Amino acid sequence: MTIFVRLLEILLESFNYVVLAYFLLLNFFYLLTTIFAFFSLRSYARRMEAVDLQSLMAKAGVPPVTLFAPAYNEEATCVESIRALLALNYPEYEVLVINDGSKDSTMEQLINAFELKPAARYKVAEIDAAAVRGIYRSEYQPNLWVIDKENGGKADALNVGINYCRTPLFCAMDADSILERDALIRIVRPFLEDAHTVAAGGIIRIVNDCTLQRGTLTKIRLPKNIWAKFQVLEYLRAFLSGRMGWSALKSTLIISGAFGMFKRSAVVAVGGYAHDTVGEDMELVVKLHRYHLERKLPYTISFVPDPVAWTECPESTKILGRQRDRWQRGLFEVLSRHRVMLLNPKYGRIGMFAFPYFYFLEMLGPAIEMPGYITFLIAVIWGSISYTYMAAFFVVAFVFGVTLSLFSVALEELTFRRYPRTRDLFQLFFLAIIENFGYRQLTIYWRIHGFISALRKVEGWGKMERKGFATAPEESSK
Amino acid sequence: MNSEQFVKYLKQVIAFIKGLGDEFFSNFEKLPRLEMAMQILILTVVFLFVLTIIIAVGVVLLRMKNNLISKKYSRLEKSWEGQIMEALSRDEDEDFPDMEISRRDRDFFVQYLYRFASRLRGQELQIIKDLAQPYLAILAKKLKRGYPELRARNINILATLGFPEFIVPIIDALKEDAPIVKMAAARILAHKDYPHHIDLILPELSHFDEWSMNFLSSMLSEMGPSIAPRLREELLNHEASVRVRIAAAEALRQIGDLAAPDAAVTVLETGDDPELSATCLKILRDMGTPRHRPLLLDLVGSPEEIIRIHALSALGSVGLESDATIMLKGLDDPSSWVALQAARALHQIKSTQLLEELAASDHFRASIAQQILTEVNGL
Repeated sequence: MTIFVRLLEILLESFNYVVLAYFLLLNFFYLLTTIFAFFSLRSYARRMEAVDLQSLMAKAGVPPVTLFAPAYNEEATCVESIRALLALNYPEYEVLVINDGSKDSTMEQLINAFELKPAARYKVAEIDAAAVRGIYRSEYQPNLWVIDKENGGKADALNVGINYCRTPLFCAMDADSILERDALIRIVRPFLEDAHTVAAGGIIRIVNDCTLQRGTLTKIRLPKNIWAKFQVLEYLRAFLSGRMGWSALKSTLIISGAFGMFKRSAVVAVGGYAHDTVGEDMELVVKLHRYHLERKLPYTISFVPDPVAWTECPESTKILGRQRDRWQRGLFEVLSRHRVMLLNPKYGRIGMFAFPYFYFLEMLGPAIEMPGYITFLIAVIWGSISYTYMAAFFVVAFVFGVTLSLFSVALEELTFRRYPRTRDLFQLFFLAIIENFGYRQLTIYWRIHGFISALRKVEGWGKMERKGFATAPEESSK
Repeated sequence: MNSEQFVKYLKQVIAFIKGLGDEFFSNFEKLPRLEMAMQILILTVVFLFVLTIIIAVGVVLLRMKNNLISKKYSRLEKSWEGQIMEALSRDEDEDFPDMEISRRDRDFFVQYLYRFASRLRGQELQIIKDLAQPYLAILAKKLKRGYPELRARNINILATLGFPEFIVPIIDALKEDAPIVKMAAARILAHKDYPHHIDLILPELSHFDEWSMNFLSSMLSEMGPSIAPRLREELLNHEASVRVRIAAAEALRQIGDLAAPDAAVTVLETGDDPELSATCLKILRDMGTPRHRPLLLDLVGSPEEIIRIHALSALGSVGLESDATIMLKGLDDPSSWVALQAARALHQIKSTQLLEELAASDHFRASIAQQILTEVNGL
C-alpha cells in the first residue's frame, strides 16, 4: 500500500513538472512571438509611411485578382457584404460569390439585388468539387459572378472558385466579412515586393456594433456584448502578437479563412482545399509549405497586419463554444495529417520549430491542461504542493496573461489605433484583467471539448447565427 | 526648495523604498517551504506586475500623445490650408510671401505639402513646390541617415516637391544597399522626361530579384518609347539575367515598340527560357503581323504549356481563317488554359460559326465555346 501511495505521489509530482514545463514553454513562445511582433510591426509601420498606395495601384502593374466569397445561408448579410466588395479600391478584380447550396433565400436575394442572369464560364482547373447548378453574372456589375452549387462545405465552395478563377491571384474570404477599401492593394503588396510569395494573410477584426455605410465602416467601437468584447482582445492578441510574430520568424502556419490572398497556380499545384477537415484554411497553408519544401522551391508565406477584414463574431457562449470546438478539431486534423513534418529537419524551421509548437502546445495542450488541473488539485489536497506555491503559480499565470494582453493593446496603439474612443482603450485594459476569471477557463473547456471531438472523429461545422450589420441611418432609410 | 533639501528628500525616498524592499525580501524566509522556485515565482510576479503597470501607463501616455499630436496637426493643417488656398488663387505673376513655419513643424509641413501636391498639376503644383523649396535641402541631407523606410519616404517627397532640382541625391540613393531605398529611387528616376536614366537603372535591375516582374516592367515602361532601343539591346543580351530580359520584353510590349517583334522573333528562334519566350509571344500578339505565322504555327506544338498558350493567343491576332484547324486541335489540349486560348483565337480569326457549332455539340470543351460566345455577345 505504501509503495502504491509513493508511486502515486511520484506520478503526481512528475506530471506536475510536465504541466509546469508546458506552462513555461507555452509562455516562452508567447513572449517570443510578442517580442518579434513588436519589432516587425514597428518596421512595418515605418515601411507603410514610405509606400504610396495610389501610386502602387496606378503604376506598379498590380495583378488582377478574384475574390471568392463562399456563402451558405447568408441571407442576413450577403447583399451588404457583396456591395462592399464591389466598392473596393483596386484596379482590376472580379468577385466570385459561391452559393454553397444555401437553404435560405441567399440565392434569391443575390439574383434580385444584383440583377443576375445566367452566363457561361469555363472551368480552368479540375479540382474535385460538388456539382455546379448554375453560373450567373450581374447585368450592371460585369465583375460580379455568382456560382450556384450543391452543398459541399466551405472548402468545396472555394475549390469551385479555384476551378473558375482566371486571375493569377485569388482572395479567399467569408461572404459575411467586410473588407476595408484599400485591403486588396495592401494584401497584394507582398506579391509585388517578393515574387516568391505564394500566400499572404490579412488581419481579422470584429465588426459587432460598428456602423456600416455603403459598404464602408463609418463608426468603429467595441461591441456591447461581453463575449464579443473578449473576442476583440483575443483577436488583437492572436493577430498582432501571434501571427505577426510567427510571420517575423518566417513560420506562418495559419492564414485565416476569412481573409487570405493566394497564388492560384500554387494552390492548384497542391490540389486546392481539403474537403475532409474543418481546418481547411490551415491545411492549405501547411500543404503549401510542405509542397515547396519537399521540392526545394523558393516561396514566401507572410502575414500583413493592415489589410483588414471585419467580421461578425459569436455573441453567445453556445455559438462561440461551437466555433472554438471546430477550431480545435481543425487544428488536430491538420497537424495529424501532416505529422510527417513534425521535428523533421527536411522541413526546416517549419518542421523543427513552428510545427512542434502547434503540435505539442496548441494541439496537445488541452490534453496536458485538463489532467494538469485535476492532478494539480489532487496534489494540493494531498499536501504535496503548498498553497503558497499554488497561489504564486496562479498569480504568475494571471499577471503574465494580463501583461501579454496589454502588450497587444500597446501594439495596436503603436500602429493602427482602430479604436479611437479612450473609453474603449480603458475597456480593453479592464477586459485584459477580467478575462482571466471565467472567459479563459471557458476557452480551455471548449478546446478540451474540441480535442475530444477530434479524437471521436466528430464532423461538421456547427451552426453559426448572424444578426447582420448595423447600418448608418441614411443607409437604412433607403 | 534648495538643492540640499532636495537631495535630503531624495535620500529619504530612496531609504523608504529600500526599507520596503528589505521588509519584502525578509518575509521570504518566513514563508513555508521557501525554495529557489518560490523566490523566482515571486520575483517574476513582481517583475510582471511592474511591467504591466509600465505598459498600461505607457499605452495611456501614448494615447494622450497621439491625441495631442493629432489635434496639433489638424490645427496646423487648418491654418496652412487657408494660406495655401490663398497662394493658389493668386495670379501667375503675383508674388506671395514665404509661409512662416516654425523649425519643429517643418517636417510635418513638407509632408502636408506632399499630400497636397499629389492632387495637383501644372501651375498649382509649381506653387506648392515653391512653398516647399526652403525646406527641401534639409530633407535631401536626411537621405543619408535614418532608417531605410524613412529615407524611401523622403525620396518620394523630394521627387514630388523637388524634382529635378534634387536629382543628384536621388541618383546616389540608387546605389544604396537597402532595397526599399533603391527601389524608391529607381521608380523616381524612371521618368519619361529623363530617358538617359535607363543606363542608371538597367545595371541595378538585377538587384531587384525579389520584386514582381509586373512591378519592374511597369517601372521601365513609364520612361516611354525613347528607351526602346536600349530595352531591345537588353532583351537580346544573353549576358543579362533572364528576369532583366523578361522585364525589358514586357516593357517593350507595354510601350508598343514597333521594332520589338523582330527582337522577339530572334529570342524565340533561339528557344530561350519558356517565360522569356512567353513574354516575346505577347509582343507578337500585340504587334505581330502575318509574316510571324510560320514561327507561331511551329510554337503551338511546343511541349511547354505556357508557350502553347501564348503562341495560340498570338496566332489569334495575326492568323488567318485557314489556321482554324490548328486552333481546333488546341481545343483538345490537356491544358484548360491552352483550350481557352484556342477558343478565343478561333473567335479572333472570325471563325464564329465553328465556335457556335462547337458550343452546340457534345464536345468536352463545348462549354469553353459557350463562354467565349457569351463574352463576345454579352449576357
